[in-house]
Order: sequence, then C-alpha cells, then structure tokens
Amino acid sequence: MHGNSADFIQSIATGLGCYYLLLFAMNWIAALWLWRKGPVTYFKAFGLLPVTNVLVWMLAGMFFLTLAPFTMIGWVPTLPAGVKDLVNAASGPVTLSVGALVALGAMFVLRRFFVNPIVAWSGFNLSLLAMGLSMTDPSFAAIVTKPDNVPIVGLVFLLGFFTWLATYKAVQNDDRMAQGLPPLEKEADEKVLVWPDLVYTELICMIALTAFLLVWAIALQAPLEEPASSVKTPNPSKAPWYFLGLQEMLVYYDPWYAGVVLPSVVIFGLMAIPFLDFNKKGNGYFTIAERKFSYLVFQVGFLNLWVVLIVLGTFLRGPNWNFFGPFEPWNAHKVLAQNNVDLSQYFWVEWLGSSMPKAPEGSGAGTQFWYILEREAPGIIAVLAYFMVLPPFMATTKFFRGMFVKMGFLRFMLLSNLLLLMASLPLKMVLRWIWNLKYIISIPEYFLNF
Amino acid sequence: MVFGLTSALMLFCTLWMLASDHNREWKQYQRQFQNVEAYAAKSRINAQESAAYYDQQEKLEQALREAQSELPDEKLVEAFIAEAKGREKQNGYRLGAIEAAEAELADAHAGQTSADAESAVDPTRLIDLRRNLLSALQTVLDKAKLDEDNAQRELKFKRADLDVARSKYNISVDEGKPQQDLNALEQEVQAVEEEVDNLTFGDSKAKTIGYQQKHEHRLALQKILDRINAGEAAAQKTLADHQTELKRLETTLAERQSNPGKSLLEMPIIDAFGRPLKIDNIWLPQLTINNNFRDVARFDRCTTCHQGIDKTAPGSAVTSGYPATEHETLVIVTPAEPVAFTEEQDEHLKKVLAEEGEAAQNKQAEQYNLVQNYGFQLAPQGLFDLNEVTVSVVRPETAAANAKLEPGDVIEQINDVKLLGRERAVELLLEFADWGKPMELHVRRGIPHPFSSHPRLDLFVGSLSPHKSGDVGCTICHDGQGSATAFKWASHTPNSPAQNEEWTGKYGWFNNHHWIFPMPSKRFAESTCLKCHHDVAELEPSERFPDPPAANLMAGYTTIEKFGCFGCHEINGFDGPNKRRGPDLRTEPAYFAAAQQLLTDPNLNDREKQLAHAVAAHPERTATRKLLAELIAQSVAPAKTEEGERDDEAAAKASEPRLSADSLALGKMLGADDETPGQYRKVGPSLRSVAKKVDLPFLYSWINNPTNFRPSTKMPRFFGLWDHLETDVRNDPTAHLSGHAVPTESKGLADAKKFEPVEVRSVAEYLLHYSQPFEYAEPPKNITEGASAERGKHLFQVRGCLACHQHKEFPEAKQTQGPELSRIGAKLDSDNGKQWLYSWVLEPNRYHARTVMPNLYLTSIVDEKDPKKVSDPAADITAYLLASQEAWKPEEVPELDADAVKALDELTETYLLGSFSKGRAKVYLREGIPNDAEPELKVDEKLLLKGEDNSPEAMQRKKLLYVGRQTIGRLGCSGCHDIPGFEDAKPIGTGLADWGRKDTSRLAFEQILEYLREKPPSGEHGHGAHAAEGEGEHHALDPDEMDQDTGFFVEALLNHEREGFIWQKLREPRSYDFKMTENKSYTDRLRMPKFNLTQQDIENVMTFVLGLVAEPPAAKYVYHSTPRRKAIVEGEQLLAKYNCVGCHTVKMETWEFEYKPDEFEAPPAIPDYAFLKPHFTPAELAASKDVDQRGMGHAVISGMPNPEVQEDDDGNPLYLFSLWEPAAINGETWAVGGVEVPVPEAHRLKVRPYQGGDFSRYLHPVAVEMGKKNNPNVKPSDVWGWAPPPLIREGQKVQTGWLRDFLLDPFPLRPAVVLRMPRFNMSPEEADKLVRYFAAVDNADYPYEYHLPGGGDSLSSDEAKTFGTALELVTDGKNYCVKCHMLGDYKPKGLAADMAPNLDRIYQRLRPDYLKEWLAHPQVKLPYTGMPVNFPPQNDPNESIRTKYIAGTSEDALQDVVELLLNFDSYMKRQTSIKSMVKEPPPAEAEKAALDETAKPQPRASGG
Repeated sequence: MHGNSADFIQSIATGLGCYYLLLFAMNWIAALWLWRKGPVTYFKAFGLLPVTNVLVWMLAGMFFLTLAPFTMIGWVPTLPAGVKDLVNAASGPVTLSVGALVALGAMFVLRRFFVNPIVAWSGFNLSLLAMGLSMTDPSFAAIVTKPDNVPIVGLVFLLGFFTWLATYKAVQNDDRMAQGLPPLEKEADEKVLVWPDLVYTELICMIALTAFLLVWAIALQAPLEEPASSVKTPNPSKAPWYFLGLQEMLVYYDPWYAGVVLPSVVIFGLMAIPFLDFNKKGNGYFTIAERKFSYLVFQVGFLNLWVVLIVLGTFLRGPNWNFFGPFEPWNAHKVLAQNNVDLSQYFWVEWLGSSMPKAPEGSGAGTQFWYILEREAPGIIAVLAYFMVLPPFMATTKFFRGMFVKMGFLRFMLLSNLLLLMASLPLKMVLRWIWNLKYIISIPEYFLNF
Repeated sequence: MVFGLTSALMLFCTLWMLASDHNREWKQYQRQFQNVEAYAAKSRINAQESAAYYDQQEKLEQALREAQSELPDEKLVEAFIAEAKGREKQNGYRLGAIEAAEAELADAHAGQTSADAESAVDPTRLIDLRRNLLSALQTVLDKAKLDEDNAQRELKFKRADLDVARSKYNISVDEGKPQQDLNALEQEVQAVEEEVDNLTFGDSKAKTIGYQQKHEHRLALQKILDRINAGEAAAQKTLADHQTELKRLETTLAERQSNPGKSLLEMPIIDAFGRPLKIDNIWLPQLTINNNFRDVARFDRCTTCHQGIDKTAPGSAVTSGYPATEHETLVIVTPAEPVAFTEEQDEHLKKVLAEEGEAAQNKQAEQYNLVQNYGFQLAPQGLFDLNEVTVSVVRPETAAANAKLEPGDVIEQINDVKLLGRERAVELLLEFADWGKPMELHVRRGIPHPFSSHPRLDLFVGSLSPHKSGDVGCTICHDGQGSATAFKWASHTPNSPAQNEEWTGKYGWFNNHHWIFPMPSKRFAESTCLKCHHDVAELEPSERFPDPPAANLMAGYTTIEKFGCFGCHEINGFDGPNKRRGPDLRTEPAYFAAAQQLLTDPNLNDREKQLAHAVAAHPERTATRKLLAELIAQSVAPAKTEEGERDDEAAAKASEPRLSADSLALGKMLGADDETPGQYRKVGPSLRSVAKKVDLPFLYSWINNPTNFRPSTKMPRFFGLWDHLETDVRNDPTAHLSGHAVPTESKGLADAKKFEPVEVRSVAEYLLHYSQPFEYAEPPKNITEGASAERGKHLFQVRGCLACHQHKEFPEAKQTQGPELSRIGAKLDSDNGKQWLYSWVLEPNRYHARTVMPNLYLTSIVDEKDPKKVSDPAADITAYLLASQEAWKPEEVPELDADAVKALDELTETYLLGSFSKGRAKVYLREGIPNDAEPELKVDEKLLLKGEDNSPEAMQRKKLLYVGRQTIGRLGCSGCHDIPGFEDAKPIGTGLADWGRKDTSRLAFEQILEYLREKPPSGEHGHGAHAAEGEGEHHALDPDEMDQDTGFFVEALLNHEREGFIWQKLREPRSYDFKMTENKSYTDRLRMPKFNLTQQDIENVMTFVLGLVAEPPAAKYVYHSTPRRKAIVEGEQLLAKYNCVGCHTVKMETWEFEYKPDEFEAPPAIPDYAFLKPHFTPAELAASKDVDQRGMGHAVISGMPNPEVQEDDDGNPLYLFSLWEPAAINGETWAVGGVEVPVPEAHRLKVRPYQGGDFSRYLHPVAVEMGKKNNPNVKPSDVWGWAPPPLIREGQKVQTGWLRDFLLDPFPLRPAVVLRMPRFNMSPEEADKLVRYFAAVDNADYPYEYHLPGGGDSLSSDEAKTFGTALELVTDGKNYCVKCHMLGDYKPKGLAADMAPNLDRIYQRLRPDYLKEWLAHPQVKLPYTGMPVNFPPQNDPNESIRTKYIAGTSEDALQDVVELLLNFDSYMKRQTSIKSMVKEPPPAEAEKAALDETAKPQPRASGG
C-alpha cells in the first residue's frame, strides 16, 4: 500500500466534496418536504430558542454546504487519530457482538424515542457524516469502496431504514390499539385491482430497477480478480457476502456443524414457525406489543446472529481471517495468538491434573471408541444436559410455563431446542473469547467436533 | 406521472449507455487513427505532388498533345488506302473521306509550320482534324471487321453442315449400308467440304474471297492504323505510368478518408451495432495462457487500439511506418535575403485573388513564400492538436530537405521561441527571420502511442519477421491482459514514477495486482524472450538481425555467466529429463573434483591413480569415469575366499576395505549419471592446491575484502557489509537518563565485528590445511641467461598476455578475460608463489588441467645476434610479473588473542548446537568429540574428534578447521571454487528457474522500507544529499522525488513487487537483515555477498532473472535453431570462452555513409579474372543509385578503416576505408583489394563496430616499431601479417579437417609472426564446434575433405610433366614462390619476418577454389597481404619468364601451379630434393631484395 496519505486525500477530495453537497441537498429537500407537506413541529432549542424541525434540517444542510468547498480544495475534515484508535479497539468481535446485542436491546426498550423522525433523521445524518469523515482514512476507504462491498454498505443503510420503518409503524399501531383504535393498515383497507394498479406498479418498478442496474453497470464496473488457483488462494478468502455469516460461524464450530447442521436447522426452524406459532395476532399490520416474543427472537436471530456477522465478515475480517478495526491497515503479517483448548483437555489436564485417557497402542476400534467416550465424557454430558435438562427446567419458569401449557410437550420441546440451538452460537463465541475454549466435544478421530 | 418519470429515467439511462459505448476508449483511438492514416496518405500525395512531378506531367501532357496533333506519315495513310482499295466496293469503304481528312490536316499543318502568325492554326483544331482522319480510318477498319465477322459466321454454319454429313456417313458405315449409299454420302461430304474450302480460302471460280483473306485484310489495316497511332499510344502510356503511384495513393486516401456512408455508420447509437469500428481479435488457440486450472486460448485485442503497429514505411517491409515520437533539433539554412515570387507564382496569385479573394491569396502567398525560402509547407492544422505547427510538404533538395526536415514533423520551437500556433510560426519564419543566419528548429517527429508502429518490424509483428503478429500475437512477448480493450485494464506497466503519474491522471491507470501477468515495464521488455529462447545465446546480433535483438537481456546473461550466479542459484531449465522449461544455467557435475579428491587416498593403486588423473583432466570422457567408479566400487567386494576359509574371516576382510569411506563415496559420485548435466564451470579458480600458490596473509586479506587487492575483481565481498547494522538507538541504556538517545553500536554490529575476523581466518586455515600437493614445473636445462624483468616486460606485451589480461603499464590493452595483473607480484610474493607463477606461465594446465589459459609455447629463445645466449621467456615474464606490485601489502592478520579465541569458541558452540543438545555441545566444545562417536557424525563434526592429540593447541586448531568448514559451507564458497572436501556440495541459494513468477507473498521484505527510510537510496544521478543528514533520521520514501530509475525501483518496493526486491537484493544484499539480526542466531544471518555491479549491470541481471518464468509455450513456438545458426551460436560461445576474439577479428566494421552522387568518383577499373569479379545484379546496382530527399546517395561498406586519418580539402577528417566485402556504391562495383573508399567524417552515418581482434590492433603499432629495428622502411600494412590474422572467410579458406587438427595442436605456420597461436585445453568436440562455426559463418561445405585426384603412383606421365614445369616455375627463386615461401626442405635466405609459409602442405590446408583465387589476386582475399599478383591476367611484366616455363596464358600457368600445389605430396614422392633444383640469385642480390621492401613488396602469405 502506498504510504503517501496526502496523495490519497487529494485523490478523494473532489468526490467527498460532492458527497457533502449531496447531503446538503438531501437535508434541504427534507426541509422543503416538511415545510410543504408537514408535519412542522415547533420546539425550543436549549430551552430558549424557538425553532422548527424545518429550520433544523436547513441548518444541518448549511453545515454540509460549508464542509463541501473546504473539502474540495483539499482541507478535508478527518477523524482525529484518537477516535480512530478508539473505534478500532472497540470493534473487536467481543465488543461488536455483545455491543450489537446491547444496542438492539436498548433500541427495543427505548423504541419510542428512536422512532421519532427527528431522532431517526439525526441519526441518519450523523451516520452519513461519520461515513464521510471515515472515508478520509485509506484503509476504511479501500474496504468500503471495494466494488464487492459497495452493495453491502447500501444494505446496511437499507436495513436500518426498514427496521426503523417497521418499528415506527408498529409503535403507532401499538399506541392506537392501546387507545382501542384499529391499526393504521385497517384504516386504509382499500381494495386495489391487479390490472391496472398492480401491473402498473410492477412495470414501473421493473423500469426503475432496470435503469438502476444500467447506471450501476456503467458507473461501477464489475470487479475482476485473478484466476482461481489451487496453489495460491486469495488472502483473505471470502465467501459471497450473504454467506459471510456462515463463514464467521466456522471460526467457532467444526465445518460439519457450522456449514451443514446449523444452516439446515435454520431452514427447518423457519419452516417450523407456522406450526410453533400459536399467537393469532399481528396479521397484516405492524405491531410489537402483541408479538413481543416472536419479534425479539426474530430480531436477535436475524440482526444479531446473521447481519452483524455479515458486516463483521465483510468489513472487519482481513488477511488470515484476523480481526482488523475499520481504520486499521490490512497488514498480512499481523499475527494474533490463537491457542485454543478443548474442554476435555481442560477437564483432564488442568482440573484433574492427569493425562488424557488414551487407548493403548494397537487396540481395536471398539476399545478406542470407549476410550474416546471416556475422554469426551464431560463435553458429552454438558451438551446432553444443555439440550435435555434445560428444556424441562425452562418449562418451570414463569415465562415459558404458559407456552408449555398452550403448546404441549412436543411442540414445546421443539421450540426450546431450536431456541437453545440458536443460543448456542453466541454462547460458544463467549466461551471462546473468555476461556479460549476450542471444542466442547472434540473427536477428531471421527471428524466429529462440537 | 410516476410512470412518465421512470420512463424518462429509463430513456436517459439507455442513452447514457449508448453514449458511453460510443465513447469507449478504443473507438476514439480508432477514429483518431483513421485521421492519422488519411493524414499520412495525404502527406505522401503531397510528397508526390512536387513541382518536379507537375513539371514532368506537364511535359508528358505536352508530348501527348503533340503526338495527337501530328501529321501522320503520308506513306502509311497511302498504304492504308492501297490496302483498302481492293475491297472498297464490296465493303463500301469511303476512302474519299480519308483523303479529304488527310488533306485538311496537311493543310492545317502547312499553315502551322509556315511560321505565319496569322495563318497559325489553333493546336486544338489540329487535334480535331487528326481525330477526324483517325475516325475515318477507323470507320474503314470497322467495316472490314464487319465483313470479316460475317464471313466467319457463314463459315461456322457451313462447318456444322460438314460435321452432319460426316456423321451421316459414319453411321451408315456402322449400319453396314450398301456401298452405293455410302458412295453417295461420301460425295455429299466432299461437296460440303468444297463449300467450306471456298468459304475459307475463296472461290477462284466465282471470284469470291474467303474468310481467311478477309481476316488478313483486316489485320493489315489494323496494323497500319496502329502504326499511325503509335506515337500517341506511347505518349499516353508514359503519362499513365507517371500517374500510377499518385492514383494509387489517391485511392488509398479515398478509402481512409471518412465519407458520408461511413460517417453515418459511425454515428452514436448506430455504431453500437458494430461496423465499421470494431475490436480486432488475434486468436491464438495453441498459444495458451495458464489460468491455473486450465490452459485457455489467448485472445489478443491489443491491435484494437494499436492500429498502426504493423504499418511499414512505403517501399520497405521492415521500416516503421509511424515511428514513435522523438524530439530533434534541426538547423535550417536561411537565404541571404527573402526570395521573390517567380512570375508564374505572381500570376497564379493574381488569379487566386480574382477568383477566391484576398484571404485565399494570402494563404497561397504564404505557402509560396515558405517553399521559395525554405522548401517546405505547413499544414493548415495539426493532427492531434489543431494548434500544432505541422510540416505538410518538404521539397526535395531544398534547405528544408538538407536540414532533414520531414513531412509530418511538428515544429515546437524556433530558435528560442516556443510556438503556440501556426501564425506565430509563419511570422517567425517569414517576417522576423534573421536572413542569412541558420535557424534552429526544434521538432517533434513521429506519432504518439498507441498509434505508432512497432520499432522493430524486422523482428516483430511485420510480415517478414520471425514473430508475425498473426502467429504469435502480442501478449506472449509483452504479457499484460490481451483481452482488455481499455488502457487501464490491459495491465500496462509504467517505466518510471513520472510515467506512473502521467498514466494515472490521463488514463485512470492503476496497478492491477489481480492480473498475474502484468506487462514488464519497458526497461524489462526483453525479459520475455526467455520464454521461447531457452538457449539465450541465439539472441546475439546475427547476419539477419545486425541490430541487437535483446541487448540488455544478453548483457544480463553474460553478467550472470561472468559472476557465476548459478553457483549458488541454480537455474534448472529442465522439468524432468525431457521437458525443457527455460534457460539452463547449472554447474557441471563435479567429476573432476571427485577424481582429484580421490587422489588424496594413499591406498589407491596405480591403475586407479592413472584413471583419476585422466578423469580430472577430461571429465567429459564417460567411459574412463565409469571404469574408475567401477574399480573403486569393486575395492570393497570381498576377495575370493578359498574353500574352507570361514565366513566370518571373509567378512572381517570385507569390513576392512582398502579405501576409505570417503573414497568410496567419491567413487559413487563418479559413477552417478545425470541425464541432463549442467554445462557451466565454476567461475572461480580451483583452490585445491592453494597453499602452493599463496600464503595466509594474502588469503586473509583477500577473503576479507577482495576489492582491496583487485578493485576489478568479480569475487564478491562477504565480510564487512555492515551498513544495515551500524547503530541502534534502542539499545542505549542511558537514553532515558540523558533525555535523548545517543546512537550506540548495535548487538548485530558487535557480533559481526567479533565473529567475522575469526571466520575469515578459519576459512583461510581450512583452505591451506586441506590444500593438495602440486609439483612445480622445472625450467629447461639449456638456459644460459638469468631471468630479466625488462625482457619479460617486452614479452608480456607482445606474446599475447595482453589479449586477455590488463596491466597498468599497458593502459591501451583493455581485455578483461583474465584478471588484472598490475599487482600480481604482491600476491605471489613468497617462494611458493614465485615457483607457482613460473609453472603457471610456462604450463598452465599443469596446475589446472582444464584451465582456459592456453599454453603459449614459451620455449627457450636463442639470441639472434649471439646464438650462445639462450633465455627462458617464461622466467622473464615471471620476473616481470613478480616485480609488478604497486607497493600493495596484505592487511595484517589479527592475532588469535583471548577475545578471538572466545569468539571462536562461541562460533563453534553455535554450530555444534545445530547437531547436539546444549549440554553436550558445551562438553564437546571443551573436550572434543569422543572418538567412538565417529560413525554417527556428519562430515563437519568429524573435524572435532578428539583423535590422538587433544592438547589445547590441537583443539584450537581443530576448532578453526571446523568453523572454517562450516563457514565455507554456509557462505557457499564452493559455488564458485573447487574446494577439497566439498565435492558433493549443492548450490546454497534459491533456485531461479521460475523466479520471474515467484509469488511476492513468499519474498521476505522484512524491514526493508524502514531501512530505506533511514538510508535513502541515492541514484546514479545525485539526490544523495540525504545521506549527509545523519544517521537514524527518517525520510519519507517518495519515488516522485527521486531520480526516475531509483524511483521506479523504490516504488516497486513500496508495492512489494519482485522488481523492487531483487533490485535491493543486488544493491545491498544484506539490507534485508536490517533490525532482524537481533532476533536471530549469528549463523542464520543472510549470506548473499555484495557483487561489484553497476546500476546498469543490476538492471541487466534483473532483465534476465525476471524472464525466468518456466512457462514454455507449445513446442512449435519454442525457438529451434537451424543447424547453421546453431553452429554459429555454439561457435560464438567458444570464441568467447577461449577468448579467440581477443586476438582475431571475426567481424569487420560496417559503416553506413552518404555521398553526393556527382562528386563521388568511380573506382578505377582493375583487369581481373572473371571468377574473381564480385557480382551484383543490375537491380542491386540500380538501387545503389537511389538518392534521398536531399539528393544524397547511401551505401553500406564492410572492412577496415585506415588508422591514419586523412584530411580533405577543407581540413576535415577523411577516412580511407579498406573494403573486405565488395560493395555496390553509386551504381559501381567496388571490389576488395582495390582502392580504398574515401568517407568524410561528416558523411559517416552509422558505425557497427568490428568484433574481436583488439589485441591485433594493439599489437600493430608495437610490431611496426619492432619491425623498424630490422627494416626502417617497413610498411605498416605489411605488419598486419605478423599479428593474429582476422578470421574473415576462414570457412571458405581452409579445409575442415586441417583446421580441427590445427586447433587441437597448433604448429608454426608463418615464420614472420610475432606470437604463435597458443594451445588451448580444448576438447576435440570443442574443436569440431569451432570448425563448424567457421564453415557455417561463410556458408561453406561442412565437413569438407579434399580428395587427391589419385594416389602418388597414379600420376599420369602427362600430369607429371605438367607438374614438372610448374615446379620449375615455383622454384624460380628470383621471380616466383620460393623467393619468400619455404618449400619442403628449402628455406629462403633473409629474415624470418620476410618469410612466408611452407608450401608443401598447402593441399591439406587450403580449399582448392580458395587457393586458385588467392594465387590469382591475393589482395581480394586479404587486402593487407604483401603477396604480389604473380599471374596478372593482362600486362604481365614477367610474361617472358613465365612463358619460359609454361606456355600459354597467365590463367594456364595459374591453373598449373594450383594443380601442382594440390598434388605436391604425390608428385614429390618422385622427387628427391628441392634444394638442388633451386636457381638461387647471387647472395648480394638476395640481401638487397630482402631489404628493399618498398621497391617491390616482399611476397608473404598469411595463414593460421
């Protein structure tokens, strides 16, 4: 990588300037929209100055407008090194996964605050500003503007928007229902015809999408990489973006489990939802209050265990599948100590201070099997306990008791096992991070690790 | 609304798509190239449309008009009428019209010629009148034709009737009809036949004429008419011929210029569908590209943009049509004052003013002005930039043409003024010109990329080249992404940081590291030749390609060969025994070394010893080697046990083999086979008996720093390379106290300082300890004179030492084959050294059986004046060399003090830790290794065995030897030197066979960028100021700030590219250890030594190494030389190996020069035999008369310029060039041996240097001085005959068998020579190769053997008689051969310097054809020879004497003498003595003749 950052800044200055101009335009269009169509809200800034949301967005736009010319002539505002270091340090896998979970929880709890358009739009503006400031970092720019990764950046913003939209509508509906009103969707329950309404809509979508693809094809040419080679694999080797979550799981699990069992279970689990779901509410309208459990399970499963892993795999996994902060150069020579220990080793060697049970040389397959069983007994017992003892125990808790009653034994066991399986992923990650635990059950003799 | 918007969006996007398609890079280039082509065609038309062209056209048109108005020959018209008269009525000719027309024309002509202005007739009327006449004649002819056609038709019908009648008759015969019927039918046939005859030949009865007469009549008329018309037809044809070239060019222009149809198709949107702009594909299904999993066909689309790549200049198949841009400064002469318009021009200007207005007139006036004053015109606008001042026309033989201005040149600057537009240029040229003073024009010539043509169309792309673009495409040589159609995707590679920046800005170029075959940058473009040219040597310039095809690559190859890189870095060109993958540079199997090492075993028996010696001298003799190996292997086999003897006794016997285990291992080595053995010798001298040559102080000094003794040495430096170690701030323990870091010595440096002296010493000790015995040569017994350095100096100068070696006292001799000898005395300043040097000079192969140093035949010299004095030249030379010391002293060998001993122990321990645990290593270090551990030890550790003597001194010595051996092994000394105990050592470095594709992630760049930041590389061209700024300071590594070459490589390092890695590795090999030594063991440090390489050397070596990609293409693309070319290449390698070219010239100088045809005198005609005359075809002679734009002729000559430069009339240097090849100059044939060609220096355009013979040139003046001592009038040209002769046409000259024998064992040939041909240690195979080389170079037969016409007994009496008379002539000692030549036992009187070779074995040496030509005119074969023409074809001054012996012409005598010489042996069997037959001149006369050189040159033949 060329060490000359002045050159780099020069090379992006114009583009970044245009980006700020675009942000200015975006805010002013928003302000215009609000001014013409409403709702215009009045509030007092710092408890003193009376302002309207229109004015706020105009001021935000002005801010971007002043940034633009400076950027274009080369005085590019950047993130201070301290902030970069902080972000780098904070974006380790532990903080990222746990942080995402916590953040999601906070957002869930404080959803009424976050669905406020002013808050959301501010957040959107701030994230775009952060993006602009971060682009001045060569490492960040390189990874974000890589033609492969551009759609994922878009995806992150889209996902944010739709999640917000759904929450926004759900909160509105929940409020209405709390007042005894029907949900908004019921209000606008107007029938439309397939022809011409739907077909027209589809046609328009088709045209717009084609136009979009054309623009994309012209502006962002398809990336071309070297021919595949069995002797030299690219470093890092990455799966397509939608599989990066799976690839991330491979760090923690044996391939057969992370690559075969878990994805299949996910699919089967999704297929099982209609049979497990007894809650008749929430059909055809957005709501959270009426489906809290389903909502939470889905959001954790999709956002935390799938999307966050994709983002992590795309932007933060560098050469040798090492973690790199967003502002950290991808140096292939970075080495991280990764000494992971199996549970059986912990058990026999660390805790009991004895050697691992090992079948005598030349013993038959049967003998070996028993020795392996003995060696892995702690892990096997733990896993069996997790899947067999926990569900009955869960059924005794206040929250699940109702479910157990409504669902019956079989359906409940299925549900609880699926939930446990889902939870096993973050659990295993935590175990790895905290105790360097490699496998709970480790039987390399039969390629069977868990 | 939404639908409308999205539709509009869609439309916009579609249009955008079409627009970006229309504007694709390559389409723009193609459009631009169309303009270039049109422009080129236009400028060629302009060049054609010169004033001369139009003058000529005018003349021809006038001639045509004259022919058209001419009065036809009356007689012809009369003849026509006479011919027509006979058929006038029948055919209805109107002959009156002819007569009338003729009369009218004649009248008109009469009027015209009467010189009466009034009656003068308008010429067009004459033309009309003549046309009338001709049409009247034509009408008659047409009618005759009609008549003829009618007759022919009638005849045709009748012939059909005849066929019918005949067929009827035949059928009737078949059906067996009665005879009567047959008769009737027969008559019918006859009747029809008669009718046919009548129609054909006319019926005399009916007075009609037949078809034939009519036909003849018409032909007669036609002929006459043609003759009447002949003048006009001829004039018309000349005119048409004149216009052909222009017409052709105009057609081309029309094709290239855009026209409405083409423009329509090129419109946006329409052009998205293909034509006429399209992507050019070169499809190469067999020349695949490796995509890892599959080889796929190449698609090269490079020519899509590089449209002009294969365009040649008109009239040539190899000259680039659109050369790439370059800048030139021309000086144009201005007239003393502006030249006025001619009348014609004035008139034309007025006409233009009247017809087109003032603007047009001004324009025209300006062009006239430019043409009148300078001879060129300017195009209205530039080609690539409208404002460029572009020359459109240059008139031949004008000031512009003389200044070498060419159409298409862009004038960028006139004198000091930069031009921004055309108007300014015109102003400067016409208004503000300093008339009478020369004007400087700075022009840009050529076409920019991508439009320019390939610069070497003779070698590449062109239809006559060996790499036609259709066959090999582009990317096989250039790499890059052939399927790309945009600049940035094609993986072009910039050649400098500046170019990088330019491309990035201009084309959006970026370093696409995904494409694993990027184009090599321009400086390494030659690398890729190695993909197909595995033998490399074939890339030397050759007859067909005299300009070097790959100069840098070849230089790299020779550098690698010279420095012996392959000693450590094997370059294995084979991937399995039968699969060649690239160049092969590997050291030969060490059979010779194994054999020599074997000789150290005292138990070897005599037979084995003898064989071992033989193998050491001739390792290539497989049978001897195998036999030796077998004998060694058999030595362990149990002796045949007698019956009854117990088995264990036999076993006991077997367990005590006669030879040591080491010897047995060596025997195994000798028996091993390699299917494709390496071919290279180790480049360093053998160190097997080094103790017999030098002593410890020298060895220590030399190993420590070789350049100290010999600055030019090729031995690299291993020790004291500390630049990367010097200081370290971090290690300063007081830094935190004092507040600022004080640089201190780093641990890395301290270790190096501690261990290196010990290592050097131990290596020297090892070499001396294991040195093998050697017996010095004894001087001859009969020497009376003591050694004299003074005599030695002279001998050193003239006996050929300087053909290979350099010495400061002879600075003009610059050969570098052997080492520089100015200080050699200091090196060998010991008893051993002195004896060794004498041995070496006298008999080099005594010390080294296969040395390239030849045996110079330094036999004892008997003083010419005092025959009792006998001196020993070898001793003299030795004395001289020993005195050459330059006061150099070896550095002192440091004491082996306590610190050194401690360091020795530490080193020993470090090495021991490689094999033993720490505890045991410590014990072994203290006490030595117990003797009983021997069987498990490696060879190295055996040196530390306790043995019998383990006193501290002995142990210390053992440690020294141990560390010495380890160091030799670690540093790979045996890669270059033959060292005892390292017979089976393997190369220690990375193999380079596919280094050019080595994955960069596998290169250890380590902290190299940090190092460079601390010690910025300073290029050859300054920017070294940084170094002065102090240690430890950091600098930003900005390639843009550096000189372009350094910048290029630093950029490559920053990008972690191979080019950067190897560049730094060759510059500072150890620098990759920067900040790394702290964390590794001393013995793990980098080992590569620093070679004495210049920046250019480094680039050359890189060119070679980067080309090693081990990607051989399909077999048919790999270069396979023809047998002839192969012979030449192999021969050239041997010429270089034995430095034959040090003495002998193998290629003469070639000059290209120009001349003014009218001033260039033709050579005087020399009467000569027909078989000697050089032959040029009339076409070649005519072509030699062609002149260029400036009216200058060009010629190429090959030979030797006279070293004495003359002066021409103006005092400028004038060379006289002696031809060695006949030449066609200015339409004349110049023969070899005739007059010299005068070439003024200013007219010499291009010189291709001679090859070889530097020593002869050096020796010539020295020999002239020597000659003057005996004969003050000696002719310098004769002295050439005393020096090693040029080997031009050697293949045609000598017989192959003779040459082979001579090479293997040269015998004295010419008594006159200053030095003899030495004997090289050449194998018979090598001699054969050299013989083949000479035959191949001259296209002579090989093998060649001259068969005597018969045995001695079969001579017929006639022949014997002829030979007898011829012999009488030959032995005429006053006038003919034996005056100078020895013959049989006869030796002419006089000095050896005047004597010529013995003739008695000429029949073995010379080829008969050559002998005859030689005798006929020796100077044609060897221009400088003093041998006279003995048998001139005419005006023979000796005619009376000659005819006394042989009656007839000179040629008869010549033939007889040739025959005699060729049959001399067989004829002489009948003779007894020659002596008695010689009629000697009186002694006084002989003496006079010998001295009187100038009056009549002494005949002397050359040879050898």
